[in-house]
Amino acid sequence: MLPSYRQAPANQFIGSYAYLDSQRTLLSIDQQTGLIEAQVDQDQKIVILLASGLTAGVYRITGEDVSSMINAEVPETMGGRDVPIRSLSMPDQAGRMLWLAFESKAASHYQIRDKTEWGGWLRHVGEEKLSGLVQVVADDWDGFIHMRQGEINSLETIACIDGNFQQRLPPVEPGTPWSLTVFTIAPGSQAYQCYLLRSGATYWANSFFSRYQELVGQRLLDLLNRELNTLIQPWQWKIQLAGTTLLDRHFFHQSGMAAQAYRALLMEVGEQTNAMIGSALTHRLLSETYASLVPDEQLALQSHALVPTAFVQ
Amino acid sequence: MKSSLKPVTTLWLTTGASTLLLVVYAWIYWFEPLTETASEYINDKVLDVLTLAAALAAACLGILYTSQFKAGEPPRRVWLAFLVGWWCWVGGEIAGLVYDYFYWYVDYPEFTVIDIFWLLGYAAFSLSLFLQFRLIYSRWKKNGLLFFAAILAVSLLTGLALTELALATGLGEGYSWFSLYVAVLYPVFDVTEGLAALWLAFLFGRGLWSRPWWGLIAFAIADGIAIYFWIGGYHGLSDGAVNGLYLFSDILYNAGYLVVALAFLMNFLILRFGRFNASHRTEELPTSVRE
Repeated sequence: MLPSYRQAPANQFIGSYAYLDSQRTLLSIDQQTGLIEAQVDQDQKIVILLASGLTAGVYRITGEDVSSMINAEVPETMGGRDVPIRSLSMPDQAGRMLWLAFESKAASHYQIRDKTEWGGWLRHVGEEKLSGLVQVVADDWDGFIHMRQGEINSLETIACIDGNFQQRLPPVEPGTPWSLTVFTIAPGSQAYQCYLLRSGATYWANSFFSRYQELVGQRLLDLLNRELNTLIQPWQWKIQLAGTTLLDRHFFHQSGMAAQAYRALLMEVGEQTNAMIGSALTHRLLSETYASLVPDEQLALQSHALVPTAFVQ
Repeated sequence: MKSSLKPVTTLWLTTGASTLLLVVYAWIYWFEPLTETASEYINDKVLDVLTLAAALAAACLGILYTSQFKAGEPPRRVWLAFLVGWWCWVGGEIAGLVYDYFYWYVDYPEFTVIDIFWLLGYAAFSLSLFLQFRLIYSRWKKNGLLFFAAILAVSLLTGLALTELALATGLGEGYSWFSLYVAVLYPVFDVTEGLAALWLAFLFGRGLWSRPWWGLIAFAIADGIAIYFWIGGYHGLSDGAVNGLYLFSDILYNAGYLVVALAFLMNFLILRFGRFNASHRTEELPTSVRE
């Protein structure tokens, strides 16, 4: 059964649907990202995933089989019984990776016993240019990594270790093997579309910022950082520009909402860089960096009209 | 600077002072008020001092601007080379004043310290342009130096061909081959660098980064007019037209320095205080942002 941050501090209780619903209300009021898990029977559990207080998905998990369900089915499935319920809040990055896992299918499993095997596995997926979600489960922690063209996308790594969420994996220790599950992602799912948008927008922005810094220097990049971060503030997106890195820690559970955020950011980037290096060069840099994205990311961005020409005056 | 208006005010004041300098220059040039009251030499030297002031403004503000970049930053190399070019030309202007003091009534030597300063200036500008192009077209990183060497070679060979052509048409009569070659190199470099700067100006478009390059374009046009007359272009033109074109050329020459000075100042103010039309431009950037 798909483990979901077993080490995270959680409220655990034996309760009915009413208790489950009260937990959901609490997370919603606090606009928290989190999950509520009800162990319906030995093999089956219901998971409600919330993104900043809004329901991102409701799932029935049976073994490794995850299926989506609607809210109204939850009380019926619980059957009026008191069942073990676990609720926890988590960072947005943890929530969105879990969402991606729920929307995907487990495809293959690997056992990693030491550093050598880990290095070998990384080399293997590097050669195969694997792109996809990987869940890592050890005895005392679990988390996710996302492979992009055979390399770990460090901005997407999340692990819950000793009750804390961290954006890195601990080293492989002999005697505590890792169990890896590689997921096959459903291309049409919102989770995947949001991931592609996020990955595309951040890689695009990061390559653009690096080129811009190379061209105009640190000071002007600092100015861009400052103005972008000011723009983001009122929207309460958990997005921040730090140097040449766009840190997107927000859990958008609809691709339209994510696209709106990235559009606003890129428009501000376009406006500022147009003023400094002119529209022709801005277009050139945007196109040059856009071309470096993987086709799926380009497609996701294109479907929301997030293309270089949209941000040049 | 605490007032929100101060950077803009500084820019407006500097623009006003620059315009005033050009007006005064044009007035002294055209009416020669000091020729009668003092001497032609004094009138000419006052004009030279005004030009030197414009050149110094560009060079000094260039220091201010270049100091905004950290050591090792790629744009710092571009602007440092550009700055060296302006200081070389300041050197050329000063050397011109000194030479005029000693050689006012006799011909200059064929090759002077002034030429060395001008040529070093062209070399620095070429390097600056090359570095700027390399930054834009990152693919040049591999064969950019080769391309740069090729353009330099073509410029030198064009100078050679034009020297021979000038000698054949009797233009360089009384000059040694070398001094004629150096004299021909100026317009060749002017055209090459002017075209390169024009390309950059088009690339940067209305962006502020294009402004410093406008100076080189102004110099190319100003020198172009002077060269046009040197090869006999004044034939068929009235005295008034010739004088008017000379005045225009000299004004453009001074404007070239001032455009660079203003561009440096504007870019410096933006780096220091943020964009003038940004929503939070009211105070100097906090240290965490600037450092």
